[in-house]
Amino acid sequence: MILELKNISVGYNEPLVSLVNAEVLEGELVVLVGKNGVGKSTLLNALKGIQELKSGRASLYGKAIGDYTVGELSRNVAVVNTARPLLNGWTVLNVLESTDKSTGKEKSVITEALALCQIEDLKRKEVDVLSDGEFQKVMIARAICQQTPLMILDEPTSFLDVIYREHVLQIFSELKDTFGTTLVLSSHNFAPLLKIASQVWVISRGKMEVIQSDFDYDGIIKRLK
Amino acid sequence: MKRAVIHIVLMVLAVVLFYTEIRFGSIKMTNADFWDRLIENDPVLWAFRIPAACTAALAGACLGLSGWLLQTLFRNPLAGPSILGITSGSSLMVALVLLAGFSFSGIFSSLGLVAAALIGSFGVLALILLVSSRVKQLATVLIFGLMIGYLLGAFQSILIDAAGKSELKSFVSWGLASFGNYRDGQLWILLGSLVLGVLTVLKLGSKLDFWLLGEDYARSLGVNVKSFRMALLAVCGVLAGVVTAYCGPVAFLGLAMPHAVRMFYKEPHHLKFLTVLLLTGACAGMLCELITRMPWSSSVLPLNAVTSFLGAPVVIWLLVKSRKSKIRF
Repeated sequence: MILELKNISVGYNEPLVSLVNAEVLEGELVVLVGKNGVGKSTLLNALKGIQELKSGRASLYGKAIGDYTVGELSRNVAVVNTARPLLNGWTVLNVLESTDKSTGKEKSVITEALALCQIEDLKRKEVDVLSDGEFQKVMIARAICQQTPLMILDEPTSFLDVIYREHVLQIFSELKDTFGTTLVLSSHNFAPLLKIASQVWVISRGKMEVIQSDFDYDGIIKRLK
Repeated sequence: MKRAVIHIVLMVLAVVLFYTEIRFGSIKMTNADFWDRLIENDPVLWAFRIPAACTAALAGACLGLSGWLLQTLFRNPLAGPSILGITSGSSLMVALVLLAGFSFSGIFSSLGLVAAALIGSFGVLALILLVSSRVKQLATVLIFGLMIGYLLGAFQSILIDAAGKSELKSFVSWGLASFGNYRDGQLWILLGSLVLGVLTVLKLGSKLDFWLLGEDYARSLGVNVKSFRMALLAVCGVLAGVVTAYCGPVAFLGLAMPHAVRMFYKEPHHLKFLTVLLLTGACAGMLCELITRMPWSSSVLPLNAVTSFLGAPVVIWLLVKSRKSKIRF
């Protein structure tokens, strides 16, 4: 088991989501859904080690996430979010190289990530002139280059059109099936993700429900209301 | 290859500028006379021109480094050493000495204005670091710095209003900055600050690159956000504070230098950018000092007039270019 959440509560002054319990195995894909403001990003931030838990225990490979150093976390968890930083003059290749921490061998990781995300033709382009969709794929490729067992993605499909979204789904499938990467991602456009999801976490009214199988889109929507 | 060529060109330029600075000035000398004076420890060269050239080179490099690191820290291409209120701290303390007759006793008395400026800048820096350690949002630190600047500026205007004519003249002249007022130990302190800045960049290495991706990404790549922020703020504060103490509040060099370098050297990785930035900063400092002294005439221009004449077009270019290339601020 890679990730275990035991009775955790997250939030700021008041808890947003309480008594969350979940277990995630290696190579699983978890889709986190919920209305705006229910605490999806806050829960993901807790898993990234940014947000302190209000109570309970979240562990990665059996060790509490809060006990990991930032360096250790960087070797285990890669993130993708919706922010679009200003990267004056950086090319796509520069972004991927920024994650490449070693020499020689990992060059192929960049090539592999470029191929997997089908962005080879963008590699020499300046990042600031890319469309939001292209940028999102670059950030997914960057996370792949980090070669971590767990990837946490906050709304990774939000800027993507239908074709791009389909392609990103293929990337996620391949990551979990071929590379054994565990993915935890939040999404508002979750219908297509249900095809490849291993678990769906539904946050509603301050509680989180874990659905393990038979994902029914209409049923999930009803739970969200 | 291109990188090596740029380094060689900049080094040659630095040597040429240094030679021109010490060779030409209001006291005219023949070539033979110049070399004689150089060998014989002549005060015109050794007490004035050489220290001024070295100060200009070191201060230019320090300010360039400070501006560049602040632009990285705040992820804002218009950040510069003056935005943290550090320069205002120095200005207020200098105003207290020059305009209100405040004086130091003990070891500080011999340092006079330098001590005042250092105390002012490090005082503000300490406040900035304190705020930074308590708030999450970096933008809050930036706004705090700006507000401190306004607040100290307000005190300063009260002092200016109440000051006499001659005191006012000396304060205005300090505010126009100069690389030419040499004090004992100045070069070592400037060099020490520069070394501290360079070592910090070398230590942080690719973490500086990660930081540009945003705090979330930087953290996920192993950057300890709090200590990273504190280290950069402290180093930038020391660099800007020391230069302001010895040379006055030099305008534009820190803000414009990174952009000036990017006009001819586009390198996103901080470690590879560092040496080109330092050399360009040193050259720019010496060029400004040279123009200030106008070796062909006996008069001297205010340093800040020269840095603004050279620096403002760079920033305007940056704005025009950013409109074309869709870069957002």
